Amino acid sequence: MSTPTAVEAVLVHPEGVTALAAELTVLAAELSDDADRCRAAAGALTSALDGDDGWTAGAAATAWAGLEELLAEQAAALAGTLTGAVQSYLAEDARIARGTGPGRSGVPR
Amino acid sequence: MTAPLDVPARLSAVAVWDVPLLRRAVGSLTSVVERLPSWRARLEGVARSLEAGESWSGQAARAAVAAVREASTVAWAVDAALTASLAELDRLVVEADPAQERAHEALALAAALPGGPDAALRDADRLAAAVGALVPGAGVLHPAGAAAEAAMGHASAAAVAAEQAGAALAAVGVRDAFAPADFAALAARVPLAHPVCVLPVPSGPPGDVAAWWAALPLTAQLAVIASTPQALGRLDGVPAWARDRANRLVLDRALAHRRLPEPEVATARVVAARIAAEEATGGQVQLHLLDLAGDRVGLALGDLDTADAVALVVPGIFNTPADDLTGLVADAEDVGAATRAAAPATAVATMVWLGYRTPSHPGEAVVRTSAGRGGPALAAALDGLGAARGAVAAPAARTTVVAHSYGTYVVDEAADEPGRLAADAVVLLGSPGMEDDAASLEAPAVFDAATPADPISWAGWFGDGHTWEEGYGSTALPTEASMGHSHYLDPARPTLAAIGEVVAGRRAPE
Repeated sequence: MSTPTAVEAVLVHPEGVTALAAELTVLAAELSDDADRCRAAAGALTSALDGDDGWTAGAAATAWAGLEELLAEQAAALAGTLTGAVQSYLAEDARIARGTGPGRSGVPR
Repeated sequence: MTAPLDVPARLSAVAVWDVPLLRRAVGSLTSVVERLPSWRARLEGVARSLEAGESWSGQAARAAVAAVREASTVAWAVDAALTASLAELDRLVVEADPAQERAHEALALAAALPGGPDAALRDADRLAAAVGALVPGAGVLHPAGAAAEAAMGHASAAAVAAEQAGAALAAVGVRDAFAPADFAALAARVPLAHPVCVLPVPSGPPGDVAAWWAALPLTAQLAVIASTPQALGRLDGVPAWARDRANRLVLDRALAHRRLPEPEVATARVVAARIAAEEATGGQVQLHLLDLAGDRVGLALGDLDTADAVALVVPGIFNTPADDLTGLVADAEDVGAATRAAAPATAVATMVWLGYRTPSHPGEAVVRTSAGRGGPALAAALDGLGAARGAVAAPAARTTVVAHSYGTYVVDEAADEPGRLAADAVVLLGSPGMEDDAASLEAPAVFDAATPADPISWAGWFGDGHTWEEGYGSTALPTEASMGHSHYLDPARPTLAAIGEVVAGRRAPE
């Protein structure tokens, strides 16, 4: 059985959250660009050094690109989460509004 | 069993390395690493904005804060791994140059030996034997052999560096050059949930402090703030958001503490009231300095970490936080408004800098004692603001010191400290005399305002450098003849608008 807790206030300023989501989107794009730079550097390293040395150094730079891409994807995912949250709050607000107008019996389910 | 090394083939391979291309590639990776601290700082800014709860609060908002913090901590771990990897790639570049040079040399010299390079350099032992047989004098290596040996040594070190560049990434889950499959797998490699070791707050120049802070993961930064707020809140080089958070903890504790001396409690109450009043109007406030025992406060309007233009308002005698903070904050607001009027798109932060105990009676006002303490503190504060940004490769702010009366002498003392005064412009208002000329303040632009109706500006207490004299070398700001010593920041007078232009960088010195 769960313990009852005090009802927590929920506050959403769509504009503010959307701005933060936009910043996360920019951050994701920047790191994605850097991942591309790492991939280009990997190719250059492989070309610059003949044989195993080039392959080894290029592989390290390729891994750099992979790590940067993972961070970029996570930033983009967080941006999507924030954007989705705003949309969900607004949709829920609209849904509640539809059920609480004059002559309505209750909140639609 | 290791295959015998084909020395001629190895030397031939090394000789055709494209070292300039290698250098450019590593340079590109260097720029990637250099951007990561700034990226992480901005991500943490998003986390702090979410955490403040002004845009979003509730259970989901808290989950979002945790997710962004997790991303920040993972980014810190990736940053550390890439930095270690880059150090190896730098070593690779260092070794590649002499490896290629000596390989060329060895091949050229060996070509002149009987049998040509293949016969002379087939393997290390035969190389030594061949060279030894040809060259008189036991134990003396022929130049071809010496060059080959050196080339092989450098090439071997380069190969090790290339290997280590990949191995350095193992800490974040890279295996055989493959990064983890997804962010969850990457995060699993980072000790997100481990206990945070609270590090001792360092001493040292602001640049060292800033580098120390920037290298900490967010969890450790928060732990340091929580555990040692008093030390951290006054540590130049720590970013303003962290100092603000630390100083507010100190303020809360002071207000809850019943045994503090009454003057300290009075100051704490005034600071808290001022913050509450400013924030009630929607303004951002940062408590940059709170030293209740030393009667020193720095209160900023705006974000010192991100503002395009920063102004420090340095007041003169008879100003204390308890009695004068409200009026000084109004001055700082007026400077900020004038700056925005001059450059509406500019993000501005203005700080009341009571980072020194101002002279509190006439006898102190004409001696250097207070300025002697305030000058080094001001120099360090300016250095700290710049260093905090520099450590995360954030754009530098245009920084202006707006000093009034005795405060101008504090600037004079600050410029006497080692290193350049970290200000783009200095504005001297109603100065009671300066030791030397405007150039001695070390700022690219020095402005002044003085009037015949301001007797202090004629005083010359601290030197023959009357700022209004042409020989001083500052650029005069507009005034009205009737302006007295306390009118320079009066919105009804012309000087304030000009100060706003200086802070915004829209007024050129003559």
